[in-house]
Amino acid sequence: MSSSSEVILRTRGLNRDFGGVHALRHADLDVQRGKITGLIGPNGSGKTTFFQVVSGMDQGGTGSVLFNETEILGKRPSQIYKLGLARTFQLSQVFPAMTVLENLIVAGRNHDRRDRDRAVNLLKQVRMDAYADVMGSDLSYGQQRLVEFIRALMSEPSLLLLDEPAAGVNPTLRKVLWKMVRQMKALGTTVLIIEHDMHVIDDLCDEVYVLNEGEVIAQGAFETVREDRAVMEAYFGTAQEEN
Amino acid sequence: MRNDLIIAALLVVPALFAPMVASPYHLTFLLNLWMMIALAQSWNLISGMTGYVSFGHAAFFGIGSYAGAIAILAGWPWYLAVVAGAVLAWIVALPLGVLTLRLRGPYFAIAMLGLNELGRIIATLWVDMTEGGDGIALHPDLLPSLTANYTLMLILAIISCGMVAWIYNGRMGLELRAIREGEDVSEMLGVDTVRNKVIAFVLSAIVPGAAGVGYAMFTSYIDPASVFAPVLNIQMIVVVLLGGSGTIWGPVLGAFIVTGLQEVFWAQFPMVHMMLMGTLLIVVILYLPNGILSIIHKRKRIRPDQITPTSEPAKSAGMQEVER
Amino acid sequence: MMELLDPIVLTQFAVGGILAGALYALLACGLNLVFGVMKVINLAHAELMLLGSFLTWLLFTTFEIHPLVALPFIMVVLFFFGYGLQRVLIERIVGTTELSSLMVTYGLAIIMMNLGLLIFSSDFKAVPALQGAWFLWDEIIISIPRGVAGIVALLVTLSVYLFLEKARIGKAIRAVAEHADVALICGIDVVKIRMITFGLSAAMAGAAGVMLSMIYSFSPETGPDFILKCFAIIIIGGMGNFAGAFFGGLLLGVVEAFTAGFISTQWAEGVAYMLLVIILLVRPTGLRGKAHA
Repeated sequence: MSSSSEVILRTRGLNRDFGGVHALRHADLDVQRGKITGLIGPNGSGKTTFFQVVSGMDQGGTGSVLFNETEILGKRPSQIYKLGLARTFQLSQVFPAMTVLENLIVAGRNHDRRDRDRAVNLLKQVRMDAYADVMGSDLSYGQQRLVEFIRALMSEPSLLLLDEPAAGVNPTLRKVLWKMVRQMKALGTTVLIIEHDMHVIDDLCDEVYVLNEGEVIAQGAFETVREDRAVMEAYFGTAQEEN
Repeated sequence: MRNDLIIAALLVVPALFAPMVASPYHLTFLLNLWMMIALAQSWNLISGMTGYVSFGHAAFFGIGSYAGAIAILAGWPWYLAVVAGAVLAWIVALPLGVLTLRLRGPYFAIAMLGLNELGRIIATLWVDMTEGGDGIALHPDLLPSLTANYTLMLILAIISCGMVAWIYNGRMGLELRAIREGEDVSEMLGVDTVRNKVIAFVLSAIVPGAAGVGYAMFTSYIDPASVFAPVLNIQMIVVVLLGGSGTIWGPVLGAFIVTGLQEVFWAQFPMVHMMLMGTLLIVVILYLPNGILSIIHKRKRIRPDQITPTSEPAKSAGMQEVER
Repeated sequence: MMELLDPIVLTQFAVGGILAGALYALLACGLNLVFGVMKVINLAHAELMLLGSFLTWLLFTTFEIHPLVALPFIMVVLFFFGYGLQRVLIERIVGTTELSSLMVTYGLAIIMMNLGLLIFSSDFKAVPALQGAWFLWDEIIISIPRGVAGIVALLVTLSVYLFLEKARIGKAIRAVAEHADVALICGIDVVKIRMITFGLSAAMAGAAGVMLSMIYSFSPETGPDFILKCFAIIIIGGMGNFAGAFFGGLLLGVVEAFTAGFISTQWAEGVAYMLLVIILLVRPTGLRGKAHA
């Protein structure tokens, strides 16, 4: 087991019950600093619940979540965000009646001119600077996903949780997205990503965790995890359809 | 921002000189207009900006007017009574805001409706303090002149508009609008939703509290039904939605229209006026959900198809360096 | 104080409370039916009730028609009124936010109330068709108007419940309430079902109005009191839950009766608001609201 300074996010015995249904069961994860970690598993295995609990949106979890060695379980989402943990959502959550620029600035943490500068800069990087004053609702779905992604970068987070960021995004925009994710890593940001496309996981991730029915059933490099029997069973044995 | 100041100056400067030239009748009309702006703008601050629709904001008006009337009866000078009304509304709003703003959407609206009714019942039952259903009559000797009352309402209108403009253009306005668009997501983007909502709610109670005192002094008589009044609740909502909810000038525009209608109908056909308000509310929700101002703004709105990007996203080979 | 704890007095309160509560239950069940089927909170529900009351009053004062004879007629009139209202107005707000539905029906309530004031003035009306009292075991007194109103309200609520459980249309209504999209696929005319539902809800409100006219004096401004009590009830019983609204209504009636008996009738009027506010504060989604999942 690696020393804690190399671990940016450490969960221990993380549980989440929904009236008897265990969405998370004693989930222990260590997310290594500076790496891209994949979180995979069949539908309903607890991946999004894990994000919900870690980001503070779901306050019903028990156990321990250490982020940079600080216990964050029980803290409010806005406090967790300010500690440097940002996330995206499974479905697009761009604010429809606010402009693209406003969508970005609201997620900034300086509350001054620097937020605007950073927003403009990020928009340039995804070649969307011309869209700064367009309303969120007027964007295409792919563009919304892209805006949502760079919005999560506004606070210069040290850990970024990405929940299927490429779902519903066309192949061209996907490439931009994966390129940005790699750049984030190059600049030292840690990424934890939920993704269904195993080629992407193989390509992108340094390590993966496999969840099934709320439990961690495997972890390690993708090549080794792929061969794991428990993983094969979880994916194919229960005849769960993947999308 | 500069245009806002120019419009404000064009409205305020003539308004300041009105008492010198206008007849009492016209002055009274304007006084009502300023009161409407002050109330509607306060409602806009919480409901327009955050989407937490209050069906009972008249409760603060009622609390303020009773506090002020009782203070005047106790011998306080009228301007201190105004402060008392504002302060009491503020004191009541703080715990109420903390408690009620945990409620989402329709539950908050219904809770506020209930609170207004509760306020009316308490004012009716607490006879020792409020003289119950008989109401409180204030002797004219204790009250300020029409001009002073007019100036008070004008100042309250300016304060409420200033508050909205200041908040709208600042960081808090952005955060309040984000709450309206998606509260959970805003919270996860670092917006302290609880703090923002409670501050907006408390600020939205102060001016109605003071305006209630102004109303009590202007009419020299209040009773539970006239200050915890359904007509005030619906007018605040209609004024803001008609003009443009969550905007700076929408409530001002809406107030001109509704006060105009009130002038035509209220005195002689109050029921017709109320029916008109109900109809306006339905029509606005169904056909003009963003208010009159949105028609003007629509022309300025930039649509994606008007943009010809220099390069399609992602087609360029070299991505720029990510800024840290 | 001791004589208040006398079992006969207590039974008297309970019986009176249940009879009064039956009226609330009838009203609240109608409100909840609409919410369950189309997620519309109808703030004009009490005005529909008063429409029933004023029709009763008109028929009684001009043609001397007994309220109980007028009841079926008024329910039919209200049904078609509600059916039409759904067609021209409410259908437009189905599927929008709950707040838009709240505001549109608030507008409707204001229009109806003031139309009522314009036509009937704010003077209180009453329909003294029934008089006298029954004596149970020689001790417990039930005024005949209240007894009849309570029993009829219970019967109407029960009939609607059976209709929803057994009749083909009733089952379709429940199907739409539970799974509107599935109902659509199964070939149910969802728009028509919504019109029938609103009509049914209005007919129930109308029946409540007939009962109200026999036991209370009323004016066009009586609505807000009742609608807020209905909210308290459906929040206690669960939004959209028919049985919950029924028992919530009875509960409120009993609590009010005891408050009136032990404290004062004026405080009894405030009990519903206090319950409403307290429940909302303790359980922001209502007592039987679903937990976040």
